Amino acid sequence: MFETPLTNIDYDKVYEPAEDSFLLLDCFEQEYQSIQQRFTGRVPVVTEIGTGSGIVTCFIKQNILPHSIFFATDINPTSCSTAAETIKLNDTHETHPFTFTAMQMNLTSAVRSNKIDLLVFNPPYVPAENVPEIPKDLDDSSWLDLALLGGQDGMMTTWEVLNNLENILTPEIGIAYILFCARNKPDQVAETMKARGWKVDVVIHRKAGWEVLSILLFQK
Amino acid sequence: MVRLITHNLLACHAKGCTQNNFPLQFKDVSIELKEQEVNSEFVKNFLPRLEWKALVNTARQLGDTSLPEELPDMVDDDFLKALHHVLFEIHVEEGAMVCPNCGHSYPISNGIPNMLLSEHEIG
Repeated sequence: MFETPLTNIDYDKVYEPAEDSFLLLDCFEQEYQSIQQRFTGRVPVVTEIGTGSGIVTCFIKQNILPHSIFFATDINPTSCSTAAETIKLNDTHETHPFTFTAMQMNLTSAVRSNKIDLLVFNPPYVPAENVPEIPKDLDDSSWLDLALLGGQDGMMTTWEVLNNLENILTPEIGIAYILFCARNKPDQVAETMKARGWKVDVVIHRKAGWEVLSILLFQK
Repeated sequence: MVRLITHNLLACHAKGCTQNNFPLQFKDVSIELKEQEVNSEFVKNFLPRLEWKALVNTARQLGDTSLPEELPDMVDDDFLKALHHVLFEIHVEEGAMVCPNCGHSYPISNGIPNMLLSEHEIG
């Protein structure tokens, strides 16, 4: 069993690792071999959208794909600095070149097309009337809402990524792990994406409190 | 921090800015050089995916002229060492990245680039 990374988080400003984050860690532990095989002989570009504390990227760097180029994006500037801190905090034996960059960015918008080999996304998946606006003030308490609320069906932000997935991932090689809750209707999402030519698999699912969470793997 | 390997994978994404939007130009940068152990395999593996011209020109803008204009057919240890230095050891901590096409400036503060656009700039 791989170790869970340490974090040092201001819980008023940055999403605290919770059941969904830990499901992602378990997902990557389970997928270890197939991911390793897939990227043999390649330096993969790994990108996590909405990295929050950075715990998931840190776990992948430590345990799954150490020799990679890591991008972690988040709209929340405090998340970006926290994620950078998480990487530093856990980096006790840096013997190989790696590159981790936390970037304040919406989704993957400034990353050039078709460059990402492994995309990870724990989206704001809670159904809500709207996706919240970006707060102006660093100390605004609504930054956390941005990490949670996903508009209609909790899918507004996730669809932005899915609709653009073909441009985001490297052709043929790129894969995406995206987390859903039951209210996102992941079965319907999978059917829609399959109709567009994607292979979609449920990698892991779990009842977490009153939510049922699942992680879907998208590949061509 | 923004290393040149990161910079090589970023482009401007402002509304309507789809051509000549790469590479972003560094401006008013403060740089730290941090030694990192060389791993030739890592560098060699990523080599085919680099935009070579963009990398060489950007390195030159930052004062590093160690890389040849054209990607050599045969790579030796000296070349890989120079490339390793350019990709991994030059850390831009402060400054900005400016789009050569639309002039949008993306600030870098404490090593974290801000690539967000305001509402009216989003394409």
